[in-house]
Amino acid sequence: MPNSVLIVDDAVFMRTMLKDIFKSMGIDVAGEAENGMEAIELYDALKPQLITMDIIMPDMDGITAVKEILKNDSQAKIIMCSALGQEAFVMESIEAGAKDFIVKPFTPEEVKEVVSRVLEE
Amino acid sequence: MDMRKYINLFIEEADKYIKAFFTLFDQLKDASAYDQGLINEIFRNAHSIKGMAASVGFGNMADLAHKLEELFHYYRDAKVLPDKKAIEAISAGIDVLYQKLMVIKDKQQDDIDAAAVIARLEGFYSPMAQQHKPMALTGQLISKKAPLLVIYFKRSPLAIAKAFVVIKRLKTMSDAISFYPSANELKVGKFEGYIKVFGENNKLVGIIESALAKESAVSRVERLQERPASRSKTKEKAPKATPGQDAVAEVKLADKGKRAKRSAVAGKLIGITPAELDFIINGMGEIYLHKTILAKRLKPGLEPDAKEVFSRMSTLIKRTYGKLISLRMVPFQHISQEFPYIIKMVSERQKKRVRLAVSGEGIEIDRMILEELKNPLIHILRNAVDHGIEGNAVRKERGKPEFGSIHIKVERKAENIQISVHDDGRGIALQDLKAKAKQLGVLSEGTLEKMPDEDVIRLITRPGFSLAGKVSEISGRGVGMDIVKNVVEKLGGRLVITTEEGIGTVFKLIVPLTMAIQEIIIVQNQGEEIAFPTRVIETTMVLDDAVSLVHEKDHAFIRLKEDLLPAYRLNRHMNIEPYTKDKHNGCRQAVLIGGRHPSLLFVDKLKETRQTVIKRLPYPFNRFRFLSAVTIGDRGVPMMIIDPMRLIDFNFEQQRSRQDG
Repeated sequence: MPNSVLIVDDAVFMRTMLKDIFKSMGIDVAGEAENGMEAIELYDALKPQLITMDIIMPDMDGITAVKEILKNDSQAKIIMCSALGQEAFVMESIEAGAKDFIVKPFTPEEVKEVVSRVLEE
Repeated sequence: MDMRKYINLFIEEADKYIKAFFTLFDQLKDASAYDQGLINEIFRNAHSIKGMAASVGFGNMADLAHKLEELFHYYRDAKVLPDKKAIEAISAGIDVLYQKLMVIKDKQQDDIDAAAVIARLEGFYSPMAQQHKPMALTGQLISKKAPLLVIYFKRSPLAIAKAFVVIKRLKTMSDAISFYPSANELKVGKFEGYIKVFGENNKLVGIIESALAKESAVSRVERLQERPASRSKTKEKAPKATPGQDAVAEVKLADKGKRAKRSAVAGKLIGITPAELDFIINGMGEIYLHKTILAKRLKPGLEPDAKEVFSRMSTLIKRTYGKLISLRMVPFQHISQEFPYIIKMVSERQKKRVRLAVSGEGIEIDRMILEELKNPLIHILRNAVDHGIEGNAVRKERGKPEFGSIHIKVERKAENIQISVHDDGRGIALQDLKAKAKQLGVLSEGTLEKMPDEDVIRLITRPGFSLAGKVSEISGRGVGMDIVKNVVEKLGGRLVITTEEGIGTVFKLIVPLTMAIQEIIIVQNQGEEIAFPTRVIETTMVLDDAVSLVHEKDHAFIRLKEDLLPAYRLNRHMNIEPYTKDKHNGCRQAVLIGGRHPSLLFVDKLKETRQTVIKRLPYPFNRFRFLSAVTIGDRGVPMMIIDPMRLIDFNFEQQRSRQDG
């Protein structure tokens, strides 16, 4: 079964870019969520191998979502999507249990590097 | 990554976000009380715009959105509403954001300067204060345990967060290791680009090394030599760093305390955005300039004591300025990291085999210059794969190596950086260029016949002059060679193209090392002081018995070795006219300008050369092709820095079209 991913980001643009990168990696995009709330629901429903999680989103931010998701499934593999200047948030999410992070603007290689490592874990 | 694909999507979505920004902000203006939800929504909006803009490479737009984001972050934390002045500044900010988007929509690039509005927005909060809240100093964990390894991270603003991830990962592998700085220390910003790993078990070294092998954020892992036995005494005495015991100040000796505290401060990274750094550099640059003016006007009359203070101050300013500039220097790698990917993507699509080599990646260049050069270089690389390197079958037929080669060479040449892109492709057929020029009707057959090869090749830098028979998906649209040339020239540099059919093409971009300091020669002309950058000047000349002019009809020439070089006079309107005996006889001082059309340019008086801080001009003033920058003259008035080489080149081109027309 191919690996699958849930993409969480409030911007369609960002989701599209990630989608293309995942497609090129042969990873199935199981679903997309626009905020933390949706992310939790979709993760429960779809059980993908991987989540990419934006940090700043309306309704529920990424860090809260990470905590909630891990409460339900401590094995969830979450990669944060951060912008420059969010070191503190990134560290907070890692502490909460996210596996790693990628930085916007990212290149496909950066995403691939982090994703394949996290999937190997 | 090919961004063109995403640009339309970006424009569409950013448009929505910016319009929402307008609406939300209107609501905020009418709000009578602090509204957390509304402020939050605006903050997120700015944040999203920033992320999107940065992702498609519009860094300037991202910077502006970032400022707006920070400002609303501040309002959110401080729980206040913007005041009237702030509202005006924010409105201006959103306006500029929208203008930028419109320009991007129009020409796929952003050339609107936002420095002023950014500076205005910064005035309403202190970015440093809110990003880095005061935090308690944590002392260094004094561990006498031997460090096993040092893990060095690549320089990047988020390296600290990467270090955090690495610590977390390594901890899951073994309990018997500790780190300096520790995870908690990282959280308060203590990071100097590396982490030391402490532990007893040398077997761990290999495991850690292999675990980090694929981590591109790590630049290298250094094994430390095992400790000689004689030191074991200290080891026993030393407190053992228990795993998980993070960031506890265990400073026992009073005299060491001070040192430890200092190193803790040194380890604290402070964040600064490029715009903030530019602001400081500009400020220091102005101080530098004013110092130069003072030195001219006041120093001679100063008392010896005051003179000494003045000298010390001068040295200090110069040193501080140099240090600041060096902060803005980044290695070429900064932009070249994604080149292999671009080559791979383009070559795969074209089913071509290409290898890219980059040498001199470590050479440091002003970030401002480097970032400007990124898109032009990407364009050249794409072109090289698209039009330069032949298809596999053709290469085989011609007996060329299976893999096409593209080599980017970065070299420092005195105060310039030369970036050359060599490909071993088919080269550019000059006959085709001539044919195209004829077809477009830009030049007559007669002129083309006489045109030297190095001028023919420059035809490809004319707007709309693409040789590609069909517009390919990759190049042949978007940034053209004319844009490449413009960018390089705007930076005060030159683009030199050489090609040999069947052998390959070389694009050389020669740009100054830094934008900030340039050597100029100040001249007096028609009652005005102007300056030329000395890098385009080969020598200065004064007409006397040894140097004389050859007059031919109404144009003078100078004989220099084998060559007869034309002489010009710079006139009041910053134009050049041929130097004639009758009209310009009194004018005897000149500069010899190198380049494609070596010429002599006469001015009223050559004054002096000096190192000066220059300022690039914002839009729309940067459109004047000869005006490369401004600086401040002795009387405190702005002085234009004119690029005479471009004046001369332009004149040649005009003459040629006139002959044609």
